[in-house]
Amino acid sequence: MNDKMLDIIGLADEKYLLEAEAQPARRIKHTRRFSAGMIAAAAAIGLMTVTAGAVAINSMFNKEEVNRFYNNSQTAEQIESHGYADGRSVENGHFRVTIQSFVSDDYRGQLVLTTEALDSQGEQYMKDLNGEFSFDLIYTDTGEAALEGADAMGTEEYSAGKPMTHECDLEYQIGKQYSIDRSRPLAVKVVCTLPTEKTEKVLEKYQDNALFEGLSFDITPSDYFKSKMLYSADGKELYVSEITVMAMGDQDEEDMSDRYFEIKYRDGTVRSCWGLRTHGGPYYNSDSEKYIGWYWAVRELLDVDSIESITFNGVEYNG
Amino acid sequence: MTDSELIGLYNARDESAVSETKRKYGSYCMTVAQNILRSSEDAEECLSDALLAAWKSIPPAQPENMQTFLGKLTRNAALSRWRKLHTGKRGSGRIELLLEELSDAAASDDALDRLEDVMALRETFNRFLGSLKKEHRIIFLRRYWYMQDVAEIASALGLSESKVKTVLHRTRKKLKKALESEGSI
Repeated sequence: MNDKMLDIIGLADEKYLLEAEAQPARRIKHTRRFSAGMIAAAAAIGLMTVTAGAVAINSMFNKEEVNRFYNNSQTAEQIESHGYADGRSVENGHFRVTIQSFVSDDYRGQLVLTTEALDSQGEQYMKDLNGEFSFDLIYTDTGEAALEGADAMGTEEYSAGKPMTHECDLEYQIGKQYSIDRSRPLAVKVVCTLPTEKTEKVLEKYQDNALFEGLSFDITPSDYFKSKMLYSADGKELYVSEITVMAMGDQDEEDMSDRYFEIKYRDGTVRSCWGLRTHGGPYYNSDSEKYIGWYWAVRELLDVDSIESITFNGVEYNG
Repeated sequence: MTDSELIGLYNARDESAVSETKRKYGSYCMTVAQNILRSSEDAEECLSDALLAAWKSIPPAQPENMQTFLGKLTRNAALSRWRKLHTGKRGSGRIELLLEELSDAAASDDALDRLEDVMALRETFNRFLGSLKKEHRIIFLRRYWYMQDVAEIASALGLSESKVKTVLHRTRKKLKKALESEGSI
């Protein structure tokens, strides 16, 4: 076809362009579906199932599934060599869920999960919901929910009978409302996906969460990730870890316009943010009660030691 | 620097208007161009083209919103560049994919010919946008104006990719209907 449609769409009024551009980047849905008490009880049941030995623990780290999530075909090797590979599986007769890897830094975490239907009920759910799940994050010391109903987004459309890989991004601080204490013991609990306009009817039969009992893992945010601070000529700071680039002085929560960055490595290689970044936005700090910077989540493991400089929104930061 | 101060520099033919515009909106324009061209080098050239176009058009133009004004100049520059680079080629790139998607929305040539007048097209298209639910409008414009990937839209808006795809599919169908019915008047 010709490309006339692109010109027609180019005629959109400015008010609509501003509306589309001004939407804050937000990644994790946290619609409250249950009372805190119900969550705590559900979490306790899930965790008891784990400790009662009803759940198999295997080593099922799968490089192919991990690379399906990351942009770079070498990332699974790096994940393994840096000690972020996991491979634990839990199953409850309906589903097997495998935690492939977990990478964490000071501000964010990045989980890769694989789910697989084990019986006809599990398969039906996968078909009905295109393999979509959500997950809760539970403090295992108290059973309280740290986060509810975050998206475990599939990396591709569900294909019947095949395992499906999901990306789970965690921001330890989500807006002003949610703050996850990464120093406390945490568990990821896989649950039924949240209803959307399209799936509301279909989901009614799954809302008791019976299909998902026991699908829970303990996770420990690593203290050994690589990160460093870079500085601009006028002393501004930029945090870079293997999975995050964050300009620390950028606190303008009103200005949601896009930020652009470019990484220059010591060997002269330059990588633009295109293809590297996924989602981002202003990052809130509950201790200081203010936004502390603008972050971009990176879908690759950055070689932090080899970075010479990063230009973020036109400002150069050096190590 | 505020937009009105920036426009004041253009009106006074002060060349620092260009560098100040680049400082304030360069990143935004680069993203618009990158979304279309996927090349930093080409995007940089589009940014220069857009800044030159802004310099030439203000005055007499006095944009109410510099960001969208520059965004439009950059998008036009990037599409021109993309067309120049792809003349006579049948590619399998992302813009081709996007055009393939939009074939759902394409009204017949007859209907479009009857809407050939740009003002009539603008009015019809914006009436269509105004008729959409806000969330659907944002998803549609992010995909086909800003040319973001489905995954990127899903991620930014906290939606599943399948929901974004469903909304896009339905909206394209509605657009076709709107263009066909307006063009048949």
